[in-house]
Amino acid sequence: MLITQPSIHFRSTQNGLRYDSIWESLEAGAWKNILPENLLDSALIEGVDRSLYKPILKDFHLIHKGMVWDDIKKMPYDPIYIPKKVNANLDLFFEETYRFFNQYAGKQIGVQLSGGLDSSIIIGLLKYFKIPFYLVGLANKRFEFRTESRIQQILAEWADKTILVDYETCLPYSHIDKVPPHQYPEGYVTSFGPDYIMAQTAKNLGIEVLFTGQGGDNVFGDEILHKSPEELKWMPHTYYQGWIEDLVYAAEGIELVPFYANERFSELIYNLRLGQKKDIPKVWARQYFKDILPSELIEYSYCSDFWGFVISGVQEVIPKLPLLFEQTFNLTENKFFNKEKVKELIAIDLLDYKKETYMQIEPLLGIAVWIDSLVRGGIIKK
Amino acid sequence: MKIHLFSADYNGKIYRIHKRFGFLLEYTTHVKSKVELTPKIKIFLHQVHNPYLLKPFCEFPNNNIIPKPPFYTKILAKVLTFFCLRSFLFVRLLSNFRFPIFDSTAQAVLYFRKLYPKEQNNLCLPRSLFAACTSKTFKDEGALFIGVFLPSRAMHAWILENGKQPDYYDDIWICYQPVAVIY
Repeated sequence: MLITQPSIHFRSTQNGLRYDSIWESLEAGAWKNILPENLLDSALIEGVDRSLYKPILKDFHLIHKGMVWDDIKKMPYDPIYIPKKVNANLDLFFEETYRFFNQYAGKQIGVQLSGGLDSSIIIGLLKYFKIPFYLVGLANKRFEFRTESRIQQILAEWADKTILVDYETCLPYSHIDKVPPHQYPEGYVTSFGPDYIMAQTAKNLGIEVLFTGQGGDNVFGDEILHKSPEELKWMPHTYYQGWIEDLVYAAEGIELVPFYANERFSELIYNLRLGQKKDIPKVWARQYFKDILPSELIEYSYCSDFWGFVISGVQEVIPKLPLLFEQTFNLTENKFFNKEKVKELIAIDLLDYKKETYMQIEPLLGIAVWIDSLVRGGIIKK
Repeated sequence: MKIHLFSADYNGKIYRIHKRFGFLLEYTTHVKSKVELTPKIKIFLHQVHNPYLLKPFCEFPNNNIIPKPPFYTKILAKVLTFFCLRSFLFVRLLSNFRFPIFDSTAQAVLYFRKLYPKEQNNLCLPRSLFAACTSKTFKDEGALFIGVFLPSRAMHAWILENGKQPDYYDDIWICYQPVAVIY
């Protein structure tokens, strides 16, 4: 059975016509017209703005949740959200947060426990309001994660139930053979495995709504200038990970909610931080929410680098590339998947810590996994 | 300054750096160090493994608090940087010279960062060595660590001094397993 993808829709690249689903076109062969070069270009664009992304399927643009269609340029774009200037204070923030949580009353709430600041603030707020919650997260014993692990241990005590899955069992790029058929190639294939296992775990715990800290880096870290609010490029809708939400969490009956995508929170934090410079260690947030956070998060700004896991994940997935790419090449005859390209990717020095080198693996793998999912789903008949 | 090498573990393998040339070596069996750790280094190493034992940062550093250093400081920084980037042998050699200019290592680090505002990512070793050589407090209270971010070969250098990591802008040091300490 094909999983619905309510977070996305499509527009024709020819006439801009809207399609809620393109399954029929895919069955008719639209999958043959892939443009991997566009996905490779998009991977090099920094930031959350997807307005410069070009279509990966020749006939269709992918429109993510919250994106807007420009009928003149016949292109989708990410609208910028400029918060209004309003009075803001901690009491008001707490009041709004309580109202936000209250809309999920009666449902089992969960939070992704990463051990970082953004999700810890959500956990601290739930504890403050005495709202029962469960935690689910990925734990590991790697050296660079010793600070995050400590926070996970502390916060685990605050929840009614906590399950920490061993991250080594669901590395980035893992479980790609379980990716369900989907309508458009996606770069999110990196996080499918970890999210797939977390969704299974959350389901077993009985979690119905799972909050994530996605977007915290923007609302707490971006520079907020007094005089030129137009320079602030907040796009709260981009905190949603539609592909993961639809195919991984909704498929298990779980609603994945990025807490900081709520525009009222953005508005309040914007006004509270007005005039502040870039704050990558999020010193302001650590101090502002000090009453609901463990002291380790208030006084220190340690942040682990996930890149070690990405390297390990790529190392594990590399042996699968030849077969996946061969299948894609046989079906599409696209040169990005020929034997020479596979040789080139396998020859990449995975340990050089140059993130650019991986950037060509992920988009191409995303397309190969997409084709494979369509074969497994019976959309492409060999 | 003296150097002490450590072993870093990852996935059943042991990693060390070459004492003279500084490149990373991989072993499948444990290599026991012949030199005993001094109590001072034991404390530093314990702090690296338990970063919450360090003193927290209190406030954003202010460049204006650095007293004007002597005219030759800039030349010294450039010379150290030039040689450090060429061979680890020079690092070992230059670490024996001391020019106590700055009142604290934090000040020395800030001065160096101001000197090369856009190139700091690849200058961790010259920056740390410059701070170690020019700080009045490093000799008694500091240690310069070199670490590796496994499984990659990425390496990083940083200083711990008097229970504190004195470089406010270094937010990556906790990811690196120590393979050497210079003190």
